[in-house]
Amino acid sequence: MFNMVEATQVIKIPLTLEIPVGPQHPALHEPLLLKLYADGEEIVKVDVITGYNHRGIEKLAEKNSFFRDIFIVGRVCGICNTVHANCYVRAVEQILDVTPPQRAKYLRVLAMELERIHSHLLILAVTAEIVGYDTLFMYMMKDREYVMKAKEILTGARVMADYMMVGGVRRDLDSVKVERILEILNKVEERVKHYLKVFQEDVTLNKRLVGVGVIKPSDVVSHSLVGPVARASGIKTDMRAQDRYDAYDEIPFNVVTDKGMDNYARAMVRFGELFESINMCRYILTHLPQGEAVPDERRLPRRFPAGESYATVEAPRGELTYYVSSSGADKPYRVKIRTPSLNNIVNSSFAYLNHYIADVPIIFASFDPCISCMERATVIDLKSRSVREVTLKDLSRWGLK
Amino acid sequence: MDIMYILGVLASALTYPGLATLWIISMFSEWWVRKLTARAQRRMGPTYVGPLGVLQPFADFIKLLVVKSESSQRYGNISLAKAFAFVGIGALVASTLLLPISPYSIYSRYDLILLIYFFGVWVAVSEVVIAISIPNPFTLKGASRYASVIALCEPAFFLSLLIPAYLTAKVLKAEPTWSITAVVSYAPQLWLNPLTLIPMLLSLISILVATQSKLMLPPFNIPEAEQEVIAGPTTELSGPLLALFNFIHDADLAISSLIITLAFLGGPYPFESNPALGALTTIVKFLLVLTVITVIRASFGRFRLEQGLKTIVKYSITPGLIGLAIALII
Repeated sequence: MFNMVEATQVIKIPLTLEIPVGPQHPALHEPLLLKLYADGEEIVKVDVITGYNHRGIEKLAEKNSFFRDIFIVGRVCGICNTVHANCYVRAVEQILDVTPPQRAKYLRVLAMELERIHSHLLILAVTAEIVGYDTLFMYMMKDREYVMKAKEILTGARVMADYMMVGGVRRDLDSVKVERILEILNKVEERVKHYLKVFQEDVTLNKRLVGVGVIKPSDVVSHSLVGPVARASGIKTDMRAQDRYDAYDEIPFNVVTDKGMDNYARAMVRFGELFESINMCRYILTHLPQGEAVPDERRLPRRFPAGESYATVEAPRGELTYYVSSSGADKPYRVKIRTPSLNNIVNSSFAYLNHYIADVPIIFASFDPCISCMERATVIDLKSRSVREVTLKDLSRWGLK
Repeated sequence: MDIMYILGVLASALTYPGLATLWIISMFSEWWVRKLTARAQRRMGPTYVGPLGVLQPFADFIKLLVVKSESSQRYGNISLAKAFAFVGIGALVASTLLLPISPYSIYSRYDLILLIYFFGVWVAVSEVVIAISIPNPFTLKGASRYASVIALCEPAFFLSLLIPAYLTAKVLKAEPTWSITAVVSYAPQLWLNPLTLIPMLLSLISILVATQSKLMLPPFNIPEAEQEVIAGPTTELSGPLLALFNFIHDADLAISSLIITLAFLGGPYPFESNPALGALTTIVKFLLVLTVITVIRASFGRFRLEQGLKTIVKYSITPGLIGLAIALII
């Protein structure tokens, strides 16, 4: 006789196909591994695996002087190098108790907003490319070059600006340059309007973006998502409005939000911010305060008091923070960087679930990932030889130690 | 059967309009699409080999065939892949012999079914088998996507060919019935007749959408979606095998465009009696078809699989069925 036992649970083992997206993959422009587990075309699990591009920038910053570090932190990210340098410089200025002149503050904002314009144009072009719309990608990248030119006129370099310095900026603007940048902005604004129309009306873009990658406001808060990703879910968070650093307290702008919560909403928020940034640049160029913007480098302080400071900026991808600690030496005791991509990418695996394989690259791109910014090392305890992942909370706590 | 005729057909299979001509037309078609797409995208496109880079696809093909090595992996079966590459090329060459573009073209009643068999079935089968001969997650995903798309677009392609075939057989009483040769000869008359104009228009729309999806061109480049599945069916292909696969794809493009040129645009019409002018007219129409395909290719992004399948049903199968229904009523 068999004892009939009533089943109390069912163990379901899904037949999945494991698809590695990365570390080298056409959808990714930087090394990262999204390990997808697909049931047919549907995603059932995603592992976000980082660690392919860790460069030890924070440690490098501790080994170099405060002034050299301005150039090092600018290399954290190629696309948003001026915001990194700005955030670090403001943290150092807080320690030194230095306030830059108003003209320099305006020029800093101009550089950062030009950077936001080309960064947003880049990710919108990449969005089109990931959807397979190469033609739109080519056109947008061509027009992005105009913004790069404007940045070159302002800072002297298309990409790596190295524009920020303690107490001001490295180059000033004359009236000829102002006119040239204004001309470029007018040209770019027309093109951005056209691209917005394409995004709104093109059938393939709409089918691939609308209703895909929906992130509820509660998920934004619980996963600490920042920047346009948060704003596209209706969360009004923007460090420029909240902190009013540099000249953001004087330059009028709106915080763009959207209630769509999907990939399309994120693209629309970026378009909205493009127009806001163009208007801000115009305002700066027409209301530039008189006075000096470039401090005399020989008169910069050589001695740094002991102390610590914390600065934050709204990078194109969201809130970027720098913690700088000085022990009174010529080098920082600790530099701790928290980039927006660290939050947005590491915490994003929930957003891909129940979508199709085809949606993964486009959802990923909607976060505007910047991998080199966000790389962190795995912690290996040398005594016990154990390997463990570190939570953000622990990371921030260690950063403060 | 006359031995000279058989030898003539064999020579025709190897030269015109067979293998050699097919190779040249395929490579040229690839160049035309690449160059026009590039210009539409404000790029240069091929420029290096030959005037305006026209010899670039030839150079690419020869380079892959002769210079590049073939890499494989433990589970790969390159011999099987190559065997099916030759099957695919053979089917394409056989398809060209059925088209009325040479003195040795083969025609009979119901030869449309032969065209479906060679061009519709074996080319698709060979591409799928080549892909899964060297498996990895991307080739498997690409091949399964390709099979899904092909299951809809191949029937749609031949459904749209049935309309002019039926109209020539029943309305114009042309001989041989259900033959691609008769369709080519009488297609212009179908456009001039107001009764048959509407089904012809519907079938033209249907075949254009079906061709776009059959050739894996945007918005239907789902099987080889670079950003999702690397290169889909061709991810693991390299060297000569990749050259052969690319040739099959380009020949598919060339023959599909040629079928549209002949069966829908009337081929040499209105210069059938003048061989030189007729050939020139056919070439111009062929380039026009390639240009339309390229413009569609450059104007869209990519659908997701289920969106692509729905679009094929909506814009290819449905117009084809409506066109066929109207043709049956006429």
